[in-house]
Amino acid sequence: MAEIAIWQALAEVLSWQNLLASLVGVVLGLVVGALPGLTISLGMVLLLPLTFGLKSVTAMSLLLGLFAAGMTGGSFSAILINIPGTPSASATVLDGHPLAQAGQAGKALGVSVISSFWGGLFSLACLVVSAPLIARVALRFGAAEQFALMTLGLTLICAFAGQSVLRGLISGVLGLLLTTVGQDPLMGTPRFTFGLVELQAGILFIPAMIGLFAVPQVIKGMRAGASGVIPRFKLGLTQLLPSWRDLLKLKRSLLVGAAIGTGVGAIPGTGGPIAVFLAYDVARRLSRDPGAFGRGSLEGVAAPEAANNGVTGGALVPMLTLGIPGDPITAILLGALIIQGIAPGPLLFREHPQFVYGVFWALLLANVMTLVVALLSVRWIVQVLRVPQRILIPVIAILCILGSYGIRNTLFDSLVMLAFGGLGYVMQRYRFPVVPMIIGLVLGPELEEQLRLSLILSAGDPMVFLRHPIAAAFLALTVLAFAAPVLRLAWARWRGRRAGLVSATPGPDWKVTPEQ
Amino acid sequence: MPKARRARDDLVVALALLAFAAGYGGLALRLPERNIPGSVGLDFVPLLLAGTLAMLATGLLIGAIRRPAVAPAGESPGWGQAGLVVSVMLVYILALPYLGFWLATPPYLAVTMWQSGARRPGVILVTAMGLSLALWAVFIALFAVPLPRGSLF
Repeated sequence: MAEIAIWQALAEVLSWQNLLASLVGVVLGLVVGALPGLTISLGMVLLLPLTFGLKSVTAMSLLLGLFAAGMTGGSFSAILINIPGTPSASATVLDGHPLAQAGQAGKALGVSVISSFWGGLFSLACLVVSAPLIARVALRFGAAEQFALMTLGLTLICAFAGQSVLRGLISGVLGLLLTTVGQDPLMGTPRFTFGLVELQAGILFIPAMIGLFAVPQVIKGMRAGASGVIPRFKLGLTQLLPSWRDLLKLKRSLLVGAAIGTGVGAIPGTGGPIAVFLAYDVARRLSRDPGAFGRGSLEGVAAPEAANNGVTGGALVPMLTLGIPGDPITAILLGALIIQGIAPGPLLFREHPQFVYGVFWALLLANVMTLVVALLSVRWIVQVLRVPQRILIPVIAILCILGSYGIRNTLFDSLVMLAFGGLGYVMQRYRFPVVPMIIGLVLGPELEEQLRLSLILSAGDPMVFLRHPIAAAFLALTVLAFAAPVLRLAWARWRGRRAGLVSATPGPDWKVTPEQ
Repeated sequence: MPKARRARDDLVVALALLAFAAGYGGLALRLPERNIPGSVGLDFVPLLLAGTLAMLATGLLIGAIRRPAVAPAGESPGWGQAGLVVSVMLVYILALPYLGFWLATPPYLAVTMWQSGARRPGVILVTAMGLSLALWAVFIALFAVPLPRGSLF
């Protein structure tokens, strides 16, 4: 049965519509990734409304193509102009640009593309192996476990999203709070709609996401104006492809990068930027030539690039198996699935196996296409760095408005998008991260449903969450996630005080008595 | 941004959040009661969230009173710039039901290009028309996503 689904899914992914969607996604991903200021999340959220009319696997091919290629494209500007195209390419700058300055831009780009491909394949293999197992375990989860798990996921995202856990939590709670607008998930009674028919279905999170991500970017971009200046490099295929000997020297960095990227990607609230610096640091420690890092080491390019594409498969594990998006990108993918009438979670593997295998094949296709398209067309794709902001920004602004309109063919959604855009700008201005709010908006209805179901099933007894061991364990981890920053601070203070105490305490007067 | 200013900002935000939590909680208390016996009703989650938000806002308030926030302020344009960008977007959205995509979009693109620093009228005009055509092609021809039609024209 499973075998039939696997091959049917492959046939579906290899249809011309899917191949075209994947190609479009990959090209857009490389462009969006390469352009500093445009993030992968922004590209995906702008593309999301255009996927409504597509089949589910075709929509995923398009979005996964953008996801995988965006991670790779971020390295182009990092290497060539010393500005990471995406936050996930931040570590690539450290060695990529020195290599470009030393006349090895082609080699650095080639290593980056191949490392990304390897990272993507590694994480896909991990996804294929681990996802069905996790889904099988998660099938045993009842309402209490699901509520506790979602609470843990949301807390982790709030804790990691910004510089302050408190601000992250406020943002997350505001997101949850906004999902209480509209019909309640159990009885369908309207709440906080103020008589507006448009609010009966609640605040759609796609216009909200578009506004929160894109409008602050538009406001900032209006100031930038200038176009990118890129020096001329030779970027033909012969300059890009590294030798086998070079690749063999990179095997340790490639393995470390891919493993760290996949592992970090699977933890909600982390994502690419954390993975790349962790991978860079570990690769440097394990390198035979750590001194070369930061001065133009190919290992310093390979490790973070394998890591950021490793994140792609890792991030899909909690999203597909548990229905929990770990970062904004998987939140957008989750949104795309919900639009298509597919609910991610453990049941997905039982009810829609062909779709799950389709996602696996689509991710493989995205990685292969990224490798081929990037190697063959990098010299042309980097030309987008010359496109001035005064063209890009108006296009983004209008895509926000028309994309939101396209969801239900109502300009009310465009107004919702704009309201959230203003809110996003205010939040950034006051240093509140927007990601927890987005995850709150995505998880809110399900979280409320599972909480209330748990309480209904236990006749209102809140101890139900402690009587289920798995739920209790998730809640204990949630408390730990809350407490970790406080404990870390207390530990640092205690150590600081102790160090101060030691230095202030007069020790044995050995300095004056060594000759005794 | 000076530390004192950041502390004042946090104070203002905390008070605004407290007021919002109170207002939202008040509205939640007025929700119709349709409880399942022995369980929780429509207002349970909203009240829980209002309480949590109030608690977190109090934490922010205490932090602002005790010491100024130390997080670095990112580079951000002023409120005037933001207000202008949002206002132009709002005007475009409000004009769309009357003017439709074709009449509203090129002027909107021209205005935003001018806002972004473009100054040559010929270039702005041609680019605005070209971009409108490209957007139409992407939405209608490629993805079959409808665009707004105007009621006046």
